[in-house]
Amino acid sequence: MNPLHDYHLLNSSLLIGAVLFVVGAVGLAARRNLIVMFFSAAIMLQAVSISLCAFSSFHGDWTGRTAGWIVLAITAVFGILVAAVGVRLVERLRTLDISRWSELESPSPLGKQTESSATVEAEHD
Amino acid sequence: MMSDTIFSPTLIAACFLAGAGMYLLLVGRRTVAIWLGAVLVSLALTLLWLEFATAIDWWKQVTPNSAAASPLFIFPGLGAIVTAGMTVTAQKASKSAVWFLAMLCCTAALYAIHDAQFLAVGTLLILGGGSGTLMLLVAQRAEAVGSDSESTIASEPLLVCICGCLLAVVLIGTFHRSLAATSIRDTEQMRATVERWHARAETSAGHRPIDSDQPRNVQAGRSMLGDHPVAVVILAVLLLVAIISGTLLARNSAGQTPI
Repeated sequence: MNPLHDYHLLNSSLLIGAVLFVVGAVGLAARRNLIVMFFSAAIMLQAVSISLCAFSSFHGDWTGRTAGWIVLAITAVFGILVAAVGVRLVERLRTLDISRWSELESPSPLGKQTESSATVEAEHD
Repeated sequence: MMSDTIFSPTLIAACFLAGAGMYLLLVGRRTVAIWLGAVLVSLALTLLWLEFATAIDWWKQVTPNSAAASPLFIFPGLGAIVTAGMTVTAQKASKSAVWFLAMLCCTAALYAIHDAQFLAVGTLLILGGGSGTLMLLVAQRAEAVGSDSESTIASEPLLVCICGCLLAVVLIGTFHRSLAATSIRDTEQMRATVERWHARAETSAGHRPIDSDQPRNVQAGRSMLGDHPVAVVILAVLLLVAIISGTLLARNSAGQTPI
């Protein structure tokens, strides 16, 4: 096979990976919606994974693809935690805005409402 | 025309046009602003294409049958960029989730082109079927209880877009400069350089070459469990901890009433 074919594919994939990484970084910094922030971070990780796969394909070995699997698993771990926090935010505060994270406190051991949640409830009323 | 510096005027113009378009798409509430943003981003992508056109023409001459010159590569590549942009700029989280699933389909196609079918299927099943669908459900639940989408933009979107432009200039410019510096017009010299890179990779530690006689999933399993067992064990523990802590976090305890 012509080695320049691989080189061509590597360059095109690295260019796509760079653009995707920048788009994800802008989304992560610009948005405050928890779900969209997760998607932006996942786009950045996909960009890294595409670049790793391109290098792996170019050199004809498995290391980059294995690293891609590791990146995929890290994204899944991140997704589980974000989904759990998202459910909690929606159930407690009726929003997905991450800037209201500080209002989300753990319940007291006696089952009473915390001071901040009582304040928010009073404002809501 | 390819230049040998990071600060190519066309590249900088493309990055800042894309930044302006992203800003309009992020903060725009009127249809005119959104369409103007889309036009600016399209113009930026066209400029980027023209900047790399010299290299692309050369590639087509020396590698007429290359996968990267075929629609099989161009459509998923361009689709991944466009759908990623739509994911980030969508006003509602549920629409963002749908665009994210489309982006995963495009990246899965890119993985398949790179002969990583196992990773492509994993991306669709784990990220698309698992995380993406879970997020879609959470977003729909949020919209059902009346969550607003007006407060989802950071306080300084303009600053974020400018920083994104600078990051794009540095990343793509470095890549652009390395392309120009590899003397790509000399085909034989480039071929020798690529073959030297391959030879160096084959002699490096931990190299596991692709065996065309064995199934891909068998080779992927051997690479993961044979070459990187510690990473696999750490990931398994991480996933277990994430599942347990996610269950505890999402649990609606009796002492908590919705606000």
